[in-house]
Amino acid sequence: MNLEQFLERLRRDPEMRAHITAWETLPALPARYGDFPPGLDPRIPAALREKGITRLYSHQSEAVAAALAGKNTVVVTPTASGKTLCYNLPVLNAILKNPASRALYLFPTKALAQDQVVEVKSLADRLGAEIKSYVYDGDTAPAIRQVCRQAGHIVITNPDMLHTGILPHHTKWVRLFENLQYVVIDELHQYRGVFGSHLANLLRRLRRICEFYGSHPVFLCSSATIANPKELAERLIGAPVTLIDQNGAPRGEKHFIFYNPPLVSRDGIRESALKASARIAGQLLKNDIQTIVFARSRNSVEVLTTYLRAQVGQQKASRVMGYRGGYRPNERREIEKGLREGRILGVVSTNALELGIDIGQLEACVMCGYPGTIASAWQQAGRAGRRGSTSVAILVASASPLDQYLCSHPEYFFQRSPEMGLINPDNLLILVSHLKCAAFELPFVDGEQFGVPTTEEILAYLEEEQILRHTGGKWHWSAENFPAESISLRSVDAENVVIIDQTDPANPRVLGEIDQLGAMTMVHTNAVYLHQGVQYHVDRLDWGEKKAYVHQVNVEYYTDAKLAVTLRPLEVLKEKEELGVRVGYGEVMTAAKATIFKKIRLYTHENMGWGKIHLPEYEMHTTAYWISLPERLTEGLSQDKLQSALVGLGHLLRGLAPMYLMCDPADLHHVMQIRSPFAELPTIYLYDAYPAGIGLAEKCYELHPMLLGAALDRVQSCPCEDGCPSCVGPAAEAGSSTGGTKEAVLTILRRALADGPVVH
Amino acid sequence: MDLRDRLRLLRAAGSSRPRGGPAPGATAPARSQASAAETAGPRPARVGEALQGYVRAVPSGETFYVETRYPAGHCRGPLPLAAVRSIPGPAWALLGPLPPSVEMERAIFLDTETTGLSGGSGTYAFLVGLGFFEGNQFVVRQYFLRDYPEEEALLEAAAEDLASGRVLVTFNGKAFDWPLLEERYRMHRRTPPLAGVPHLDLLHPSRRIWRERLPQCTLATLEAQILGVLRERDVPGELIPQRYFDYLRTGNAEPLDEVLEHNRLDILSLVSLAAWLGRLVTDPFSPTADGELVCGEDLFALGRLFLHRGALAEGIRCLEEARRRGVTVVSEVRLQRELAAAYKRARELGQALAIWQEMTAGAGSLTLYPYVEMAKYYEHVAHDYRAALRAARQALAVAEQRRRLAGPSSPRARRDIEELRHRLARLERKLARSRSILDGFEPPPA
Repeated sequence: MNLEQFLERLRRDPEMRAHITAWETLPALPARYGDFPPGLDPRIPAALREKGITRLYSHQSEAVAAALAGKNTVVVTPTASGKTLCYNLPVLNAILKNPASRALYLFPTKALAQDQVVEVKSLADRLGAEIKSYVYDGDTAPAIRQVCRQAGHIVITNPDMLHTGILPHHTKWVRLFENLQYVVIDELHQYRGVFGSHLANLLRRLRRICEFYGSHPVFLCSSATIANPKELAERLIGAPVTLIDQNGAPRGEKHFIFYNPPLVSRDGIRESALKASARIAGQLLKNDIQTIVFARSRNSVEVLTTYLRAQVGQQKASRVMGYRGGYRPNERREIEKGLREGRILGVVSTNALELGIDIGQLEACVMCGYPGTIASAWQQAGRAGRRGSTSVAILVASASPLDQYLCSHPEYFFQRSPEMGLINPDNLLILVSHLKCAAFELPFVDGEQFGVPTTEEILAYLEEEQILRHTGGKWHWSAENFPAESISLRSVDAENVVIIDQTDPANPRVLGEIDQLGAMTMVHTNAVYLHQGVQYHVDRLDWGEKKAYVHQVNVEYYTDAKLAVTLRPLEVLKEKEELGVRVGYGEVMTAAKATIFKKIRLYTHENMGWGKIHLPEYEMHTTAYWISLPERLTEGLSQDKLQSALVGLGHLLRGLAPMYLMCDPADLHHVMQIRSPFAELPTIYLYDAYPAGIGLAEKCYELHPMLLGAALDRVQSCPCEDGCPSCVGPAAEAGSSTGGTKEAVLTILRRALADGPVVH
Repeated sequence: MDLRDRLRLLRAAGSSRPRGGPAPGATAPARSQASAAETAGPRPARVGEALQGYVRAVPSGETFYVETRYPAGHCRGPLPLAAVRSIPGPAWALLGPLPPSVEMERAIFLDTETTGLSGGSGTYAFLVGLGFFEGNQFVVRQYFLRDYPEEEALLEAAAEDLASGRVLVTFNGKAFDWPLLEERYRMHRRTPPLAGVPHLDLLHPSRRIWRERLPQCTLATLEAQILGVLRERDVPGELIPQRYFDYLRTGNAEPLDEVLEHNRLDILSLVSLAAWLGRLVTDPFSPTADGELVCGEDLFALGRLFLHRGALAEGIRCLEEARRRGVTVVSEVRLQRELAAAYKRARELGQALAIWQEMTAGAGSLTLYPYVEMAKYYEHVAHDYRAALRAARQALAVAEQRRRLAGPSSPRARRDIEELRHRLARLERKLARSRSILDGFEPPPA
């Protein structure tokens, strides 16, 4: 059965049909073309013709022309639309015209850099000119590093290497920085939240160094579809940017299907998205349709891989692979290659494969749960889609309020523009980290600004801390350490927990790494940790050494740990009364503690027992948005009802907010207090899951009316009787002895919204 | 909450480590008042009470240095400093990538003290120590960074001194001191001095010679073990940056006195070590003034150094002498093998053969090499196929014994055996053919 036949059967199967809540067909689109811009060296069109490219797509032509005119650009295109030519042509053109000129390419990962160097080299070779391009990252051999610094026309690297390996040693890169004409930033949409806030500061440092050496590079960016590519690019590079978003590449027909798994009980419980995805993906794979499955967490990747391998049978089991962060690089390269060559039939991945890593174009994509943002969903769906042939993307809804909201309002997904890429370059912790690195690289001069007007005040603070010395009108680095080393761009804490497999005690090996917060729930002592579908028992988590020791096991359960969080408000930054509630935004201190874990049986998901976790508290200073409920709204509710209503409302708001924030649901956490220290009222807090905050809480504060409106809508339209995971959470979770949580939440929301209009 | 409180809170919860508070009554260190134009030559000055030196004006500003003069006959180790001047150029060419015409007379010995070991553009060289001969004296001139704004002047002045050098001598300077200084020059958009001037980094020949005998090859170890000098009250290297930061904050230069002394001693040791290395390659066999002889291990390493540089005769002489003096750290077998290989290279095959025979004389030897070499020699040089066959059979027996000990899965033993079987087969063929040829020419029975 080929894909067309599979879709036909899907359409006819009443069982399946009943649970499909949306089926959009995007028609095939023909190509639109543009000219080679004047000013392009004639050798370039000639070389492209040899490759079989006789004309440019309209967006390529536009982008190249803008770059040649010295404008910063951001090109927005879907996967496989020839975005690399948009920056490779102006860069190669500049080097052909002046062999001294240089370009720097930044890709968010090493893997993408490796892909690109091959592409640039093949084009450069055809030009018949001596153009040297090198990947410069942690894996580059010392001898190549030397050549790359001296003679590399195009230096391809990642932000982490720029941060620790290039900028702090800029005097070894004089040639590059004196002649830097273009900086290419691909996968711009990846630089949101913490990573984006870091990149913006890294680019501030890059511009300082360029200025020192007298160069003024033009920035060429490319991004997947997001709501604000121009704004994000401008915030990242700190300069005006020209937007090119009219894509001219052709596209095959594409089906986008929402599937809501059937109800399995009267309290609104549905078949789990995991099982439903396994069922659907299993069908595709059995029919030899190359499929990618996206799961929401590292854990679900492993569980799904196990399920799918069992379903497709022994013969094909080895052609189904898992793929996620934490795997070793060569393991990942092997999987990517297998996908391109068709040896691997199915892959289960976290959003790690959302990136532009070249795995070829697959036929089908199954999303196990909504990825959290419209942009991300389109990106994942874009992994399926070959030019000129049909493809399908199936979103399998989970029980979360957000997924269920989308199933009842598919138009929200298909009609709304995707979310914003939010960053907060002035996040104090991130800013100060980079200010230190910048001072290490070049002394600050009095009056110099680094992003914020309070630069001088921060410099003075660093002098008090004996890190800088202010003398002769400059701020000199005056400490022994190398600041970039202890600052990770990927998160706010530097130190990860290393997972060590000692199945063979004589040959322990490193299995992977995990961030500290994740470690508390995934590799605590006695957890079952999954890697490539293989189970490992955690023998010991050494928190002081940041090492988890595991050995391979074969058990019939997995573990799920709970984090208990307490929150202490520190300062109110904004406050207002809106829609009948008191709304606030400010700084808080949170303390997370892993308390217990449950053992859950594979396949049936029944609870098999529990254990205690002994780990220290993890403190974090961050920003929060909160709503406090005045007495008018809670009148007549017993203490017990009020308590469960708060839990329910928290569940609901936290589930819905990521839709408006373009953040990963994991970026936002929540807690509630029956009596908050400030307002002395029942209060629900949503807070940024990163030290010092990344701007999510503040955005929630602005979006408050929309959020409350969506919450009411969700509860009203939910078919369950008294709460389910899709609205206020299952009744048992809210902890009410008498039930009625859903009713209580409805009462509160109706009373609140009676005052004002519901905004969508 | 103001910015400052927030910064503090971040520090408490986040990553940056607090270090002791600011020192009370911190003052800037003494700074020279006079402008550059005022004086032509250097004028005496001091930093605090502790450091006495001179201020020198260059176009980019003023810089401070301390100068110490030693008689050229001063000894730090077995030889006087001046000994380094009398070693001929070709000897240096054996120790590093130097032309035989190198003028050691005009060498500059360099050692720096820095604000950190990690490198990168935020690491400063706050003390640049230069040593050179001036007539009958050895001068150590230490440019000291009184504060960051004087860095460019310091670099400019040091560049002027360096410009007269014909060779740069350091210890680990190729990896550390020199790249760091180059980086400092580039930070001021200046061209680093000494372009094209040869650089002798004593770490490399020292490693070649002493790596096997000494636990490590740091300058401190070499000083104690090779030069036989000890330091009293030496400031540990890892404390040096903090002493400088403390001085910047408090203006108290006294603890830096020891840092300058440390740097001076490093430079003197550099000269002595260079002299000792130079003597080793020019005159390895005669006893020192104290009547001490160079040990077998050092002669072995020296011999290998000569051989590596293509000096066969000298190499063989050193190895022979090492055999006479005896070796313990290095095994006798290794020495024999090295020596036989050298003779073979020198086409003195009789000598080589004697050693191979000697190596196989001991019963139960498990060393395959001499048998194989002998088999090759008899086959290709002496054309004595019978003797070759005998040697190859012995070799096979050793190889089989080795395999029994190593276990049947050892790929190396298997390869050895395979190669030997090939050799044996070939030798048997050759022997058969030579017999048949000889058969034809055999004189008729009388």
